Amino acid sequence: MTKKISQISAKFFITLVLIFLSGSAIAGDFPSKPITVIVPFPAGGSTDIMARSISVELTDYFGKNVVVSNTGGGAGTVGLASIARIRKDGYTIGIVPAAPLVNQPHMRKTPYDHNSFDYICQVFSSAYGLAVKPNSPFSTLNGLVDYAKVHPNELTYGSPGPGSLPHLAMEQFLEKFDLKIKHVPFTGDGPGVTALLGNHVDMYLMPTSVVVEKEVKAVAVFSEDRVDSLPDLPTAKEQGYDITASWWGGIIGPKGIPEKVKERLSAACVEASKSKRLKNALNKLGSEMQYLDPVNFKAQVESVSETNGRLIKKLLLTK
Amino acid sequence: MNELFIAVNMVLESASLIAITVGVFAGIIIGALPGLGSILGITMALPLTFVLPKEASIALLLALYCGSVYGGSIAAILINTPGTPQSAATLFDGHPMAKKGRADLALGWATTASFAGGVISTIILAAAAPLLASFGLRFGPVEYFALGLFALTCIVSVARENIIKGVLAGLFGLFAAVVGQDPLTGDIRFDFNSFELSAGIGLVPFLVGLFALSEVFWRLSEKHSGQNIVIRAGFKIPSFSELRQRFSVMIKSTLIGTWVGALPGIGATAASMVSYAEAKRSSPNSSRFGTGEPDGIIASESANNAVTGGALVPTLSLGIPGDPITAVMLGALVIQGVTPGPRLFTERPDIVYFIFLTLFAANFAMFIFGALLAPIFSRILRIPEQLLMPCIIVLVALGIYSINVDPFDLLVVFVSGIVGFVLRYNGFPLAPVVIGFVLSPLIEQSLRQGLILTDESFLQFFTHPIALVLFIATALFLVWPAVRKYVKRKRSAKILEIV
Repeated sequence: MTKKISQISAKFFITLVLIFLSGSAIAGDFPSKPITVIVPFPAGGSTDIMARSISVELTDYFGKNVVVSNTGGGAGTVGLASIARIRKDGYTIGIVPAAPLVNQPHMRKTPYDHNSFDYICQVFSSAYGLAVKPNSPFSTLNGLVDYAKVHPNELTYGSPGPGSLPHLAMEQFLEKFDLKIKHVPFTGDGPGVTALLGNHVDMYLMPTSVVVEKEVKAVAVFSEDRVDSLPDLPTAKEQGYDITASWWGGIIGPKGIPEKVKERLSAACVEASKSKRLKNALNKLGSEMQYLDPVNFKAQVESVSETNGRLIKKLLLTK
Repeated sequence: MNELFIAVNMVLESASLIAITVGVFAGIIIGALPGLGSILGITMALPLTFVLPKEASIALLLALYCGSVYGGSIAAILINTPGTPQSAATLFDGHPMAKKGRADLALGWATTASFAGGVISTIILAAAAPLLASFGLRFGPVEYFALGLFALTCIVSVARENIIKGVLAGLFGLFAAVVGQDPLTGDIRFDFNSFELSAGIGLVPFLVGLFALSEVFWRLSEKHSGQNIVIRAGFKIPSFSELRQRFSVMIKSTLIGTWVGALPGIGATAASMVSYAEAKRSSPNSSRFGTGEPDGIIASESANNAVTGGALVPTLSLGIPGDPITAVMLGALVIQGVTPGPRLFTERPDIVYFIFLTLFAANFAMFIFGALLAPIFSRILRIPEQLLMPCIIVLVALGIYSINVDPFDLLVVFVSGIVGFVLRYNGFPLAPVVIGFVLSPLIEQSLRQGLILTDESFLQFFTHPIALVLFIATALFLVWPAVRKYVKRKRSAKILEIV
């Protein structure tokens, strides 16, 4: 008899818990529990630090904990795959850089593509600068291009890996101005920039923050306007080469988050983009705050994905 | 000098001292548990650094780093499984020594060697950081290829009885590491259309499966009736005369560790392998290597702990991490508003001194905790296998799963465990598999990068002086045993003639 009563009360209790849980998922009072942010790179990298700074803003806005969880591996694809298949209640979102979103699906079989996500907002963007090795004879982009025109396949450029944003940006640059410079891929900016510092490659397209931090010689910044941290470095455009390239990213979620929840997340993002503290944190990492709303962020992803997909096919990076 | 004074005060603050103590203690335990490595320890502590003061955060991370690198040796010696990949070479002599009933002395040697490696490399770091860093820069793809090739020769020394099986195992390791993205073209290799496999086989799950799980399988397959070899629990610091005898190995291994650590991207695992190979080549006790020779333990442990100081050289002075662990450390420092780079030494000398002093203190704490904790750990061996083995499986599974929260990693552990078991069963040594696996990406990538730089001309590799020296060293290393045999035979023939 007592057994039966305890069984019934257990069932009752479970039902109560279930009702409570499902109730908490109703969009109106979003968020009613901590939000998890998936970062597709290991702890400690620039993406991770950036995501943690953004999470702090979101925590303040929602008054609920926003917890960062790192899922590294496969150049960011493992993390993106898990964002794509996670519960679509908005309680798990991702803060991601563009590469695994716009490049990787063209290179390998990923269980997602750029249509698998809902776009909340773009948060950051940092321009790339073209750095040259310490004993390089070049001090302007013109000088470098002129030399490369006469000596095809003699100069070399390093990149953090095949199919990375700077690799494709360089290839776009070479294609546009009909140049031939050999590509030497490294595994990440760490070893790549070291090789440049050791004069083993001639040039390297790196975030301007790295140019500042490592005090390397640069010949151009690939952005519309000069960057604050390097006021004396002319843009490629100023030197007659119309090209821009940047490292950018933002907040995404699995496709199919309820509209109301998405609005709440977007609103939080707008608020975060106004934060002085976040701006400082981003600047410290050499990045700029660059907010884009869901529609424009999505459009940006689509357009870059198309360009890079074409370049990747051309470079035969894919089978 | 004023900055040094400030730094001393920073270290002596109670928060820093507590952080060092807790960090080293936790580090040793995390390092000793197979599958939980330095990176895991540091990443687990990262969230904490958001709430701790700057000095305590940095101290905690450095102490975790030191403690975990040392802790790995305890598991290597006691349960024949490296607690961290860095201690893989400690296994070769540490476990045989423990099996002979001298676990206490093996732990004593490992602790002393780790302590010496850590302290000396910290002194080198403090004295020569900018200098060493600029030497590291001279290593380009060609030099890295030559270095990788040299490191690969240690397969010959660890595959004792059967060189052919050793080389085959090494080739298997080299091959297993090519699964995943081609580092040069971006193509995906050997993924068999599996998305998870396209990310490659992770080093940590692979190692843990190969050593820890296969060890469990191995013991299950042995039909022994629970009569463990009784190993004397304890901790014994080697006597002064023994220490003096092996002092040169310790110094040499420390220097190798510091040097390899200062080269970006190689890491402690390779450092201890290189050091082990070198010690085996030059030690007067060479023939006893692999049977419980203290020189082998010293070579591995001094080197991998020396890497902590060495790897921080490029990390601090250039902002270039020397290995994945310092990469995490670098990120952690940036979180604290300390940006490593050429300017750190002029802008924040107090922080630089603080880091040196913390490392120093952490090494002392490591020695003390090592002595206190080792006897407890050596009781692990007394736990009946029926209890210990399931514990290992649970710890391994937990540790691996917590890194990426990816069930595929567990599959990798399981499959590598079976592979390891099959290899053992057929008499293949496991160490060359690891050596191949660790060195494969370095060798492949640097060779192909080098070929791009030299317009596909391998001969040009020999025009790089550093590479040439390394190539010659490799050749000598490979030919040496044959030459020695020949010389010996000739000599004995001569003696015969005289007689």
